Amino acid sequence: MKTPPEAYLIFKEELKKAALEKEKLRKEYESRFEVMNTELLYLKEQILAQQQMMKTTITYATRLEDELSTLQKKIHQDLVQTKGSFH
Amino acid sequence: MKQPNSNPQSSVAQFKDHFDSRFARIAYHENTKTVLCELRAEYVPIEHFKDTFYRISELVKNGINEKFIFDKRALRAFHQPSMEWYFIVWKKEMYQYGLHRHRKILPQEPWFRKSVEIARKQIVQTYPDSIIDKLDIQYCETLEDAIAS
Repeated sequence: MKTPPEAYLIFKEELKKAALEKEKLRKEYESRFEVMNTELLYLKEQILAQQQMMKTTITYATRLEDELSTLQKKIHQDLVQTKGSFH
Repeated sequence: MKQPNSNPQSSVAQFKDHFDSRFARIAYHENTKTVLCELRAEYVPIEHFKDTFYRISELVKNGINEKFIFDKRALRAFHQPSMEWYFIVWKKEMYQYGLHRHRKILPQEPWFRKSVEIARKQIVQTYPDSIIDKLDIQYCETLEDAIAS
């Protein structure tokens, strides 16, 4: 059996190296993507938490506004009643 | 005249590191039995938050239980479930190990402080039998204040 030409052996070796390099790059990119995905997930969670904070604060402010309005109405009614009473 | 850090036994530099991560740093002072937790991120995911506090628990259970300083100045988002767990579960458990004094440092932003106050009120309303009223909690502006108070 004939031995393969040297050029073929060199090519085969280069091909093997390229395959290894490709695999290494694939793993590296996968790992980077994983890190990026985790960061994105954290950012998403942060945005949701901030939205929740805003929601809670606005709900609280709205309730305070309603209570203030009720109180103002009550004060006004009391004033009207006081003016209309006999003393 | 008052000297800064006049008590060298409790200056920030005297704290020993216990745990360090992207999200938090934990240090402690053996003589004053003080644990310091400084958050390092704008937002701490709940799994990392709990992990940090379990590491603080280790110190408290080992007798570093006089005071806990929680520096939240880096935070920009308040995660309600994490805070509920911290308020209701962790503080209660640590109370059983003698930790009563809590010092907190909040970010300067007024909106954040107001949000924390509202969320805290909600937690207290939702869990009326919590041990919050048994704790000595103070809000401080600087680490030095928190160490001294």
